[in-house]
Amino acid sequence: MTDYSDQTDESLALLSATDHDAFGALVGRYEQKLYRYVRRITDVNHEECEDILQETFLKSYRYLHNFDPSLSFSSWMYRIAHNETISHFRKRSVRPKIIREEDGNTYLQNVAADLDITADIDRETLQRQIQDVLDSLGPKYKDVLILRYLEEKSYQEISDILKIPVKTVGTRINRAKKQLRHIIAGHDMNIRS
Amino acid sequence: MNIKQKILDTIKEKQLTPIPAWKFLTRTYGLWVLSSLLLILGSVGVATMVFIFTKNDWDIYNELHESKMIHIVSTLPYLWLAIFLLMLVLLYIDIRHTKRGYKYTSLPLFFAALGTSILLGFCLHVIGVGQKIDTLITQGVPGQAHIFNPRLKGLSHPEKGILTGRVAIIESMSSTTTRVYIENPLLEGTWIVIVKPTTILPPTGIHLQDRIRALGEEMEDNEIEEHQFFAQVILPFNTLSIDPRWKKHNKQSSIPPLIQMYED
Repeated sequence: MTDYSDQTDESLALLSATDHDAFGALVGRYEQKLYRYVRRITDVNHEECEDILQETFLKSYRYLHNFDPSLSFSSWMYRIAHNETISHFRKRSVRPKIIREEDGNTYLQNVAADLDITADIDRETLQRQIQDVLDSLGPKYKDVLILRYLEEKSYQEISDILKIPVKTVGTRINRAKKQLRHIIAGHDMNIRS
Repeated sequence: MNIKQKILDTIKEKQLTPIPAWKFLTRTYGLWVLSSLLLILGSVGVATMVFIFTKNDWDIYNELHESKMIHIVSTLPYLWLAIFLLMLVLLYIDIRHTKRGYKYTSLPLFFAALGTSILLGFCLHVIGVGQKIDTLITQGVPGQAHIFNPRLKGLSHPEKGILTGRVAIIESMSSTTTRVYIENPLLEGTWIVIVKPTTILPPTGIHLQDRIRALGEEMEDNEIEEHQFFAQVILPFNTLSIDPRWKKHNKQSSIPPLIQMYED
């Protein structure tokens, strides 16, 4: 069994066309990350999530020669996972309205860090209010926020994953942050300028 | 979770292989070829519009319409404008679908496409592409050419004293009268332009197959079938400058008669 641990994702992608083990190594690297990501942007159960993930990896295998080396392989995989999830949603016409509880703290920490909140937060209340803001913003804002604050992707990566200009990524995040500041201001908390 | 093994098993069972690279390359290059074609078509539209605009009877517009603005609005090549805008929209959509098209925000991309089309269009106009297209349409579909170039319709109103057409026959009736038969697909029947010694003619005269514009008045004669039009002035079809004799004529000063006609 070949050890692929010292190979980059991009070189593994090149090998995968002819070497199934190389592709297996890639699946191993992205399995957990994409599973978490799909569950974050859906409310599907474990089995459905696995189905989406399978479709994602099979598609990525079929489209290996379409991988654009100017992108990071990670962005490309996330893009396929995102698109497959959206296709799955279209069949079900349902998208989740909640940030999962297990993600709540991570999300809140990252958002709080971005907004420079200094005071103690009533986390439960704040999280609910943040969730209300997110629901009112719509899926295109939530996608960006999940990638930014939960998947911790850069603006460029988000741009490549969602196929939108970097400027649009910034606009959507800023709009969401504006609304979040408004809520936080209502909690009489200090926000460092 | 053992998705990895399931996936590898599926690939083996269904004998899946990656889609060949050439298919993706075909799509990639196909999009760019299409974009180039749309850009060229849009630019050809610009070139033709510029040509039509520059030859838009600026020397006699006040004979045709009440004001310059009405003249412009009445003679704008709307069909070419619609074609150009359609090409521009398709070009924008096409570029958006390229691999890296998503990186650009909408407005700058749209204006870049617009600017490039216009710039290329002007270049094509300078080398005569606009004129060529206009001529092709006029000769190819004479009955519908006015849809592409509204000017033609505007010049086909003998009842208002303006007539245009291609010279088909030149017939000298006497030393003082010449009949010039013209072809105009927008007008029914045979049209004859009557040239008298007082008629102001183009400096190079009139030749067969020339396209001309005539200003004057329609003559009513129930005894003959053909339509007759007495020309006070005959101008070349495409002219940018105003003939100084026409200026003088317009001011109703006396001009010595000048007859220069050539028959092949």
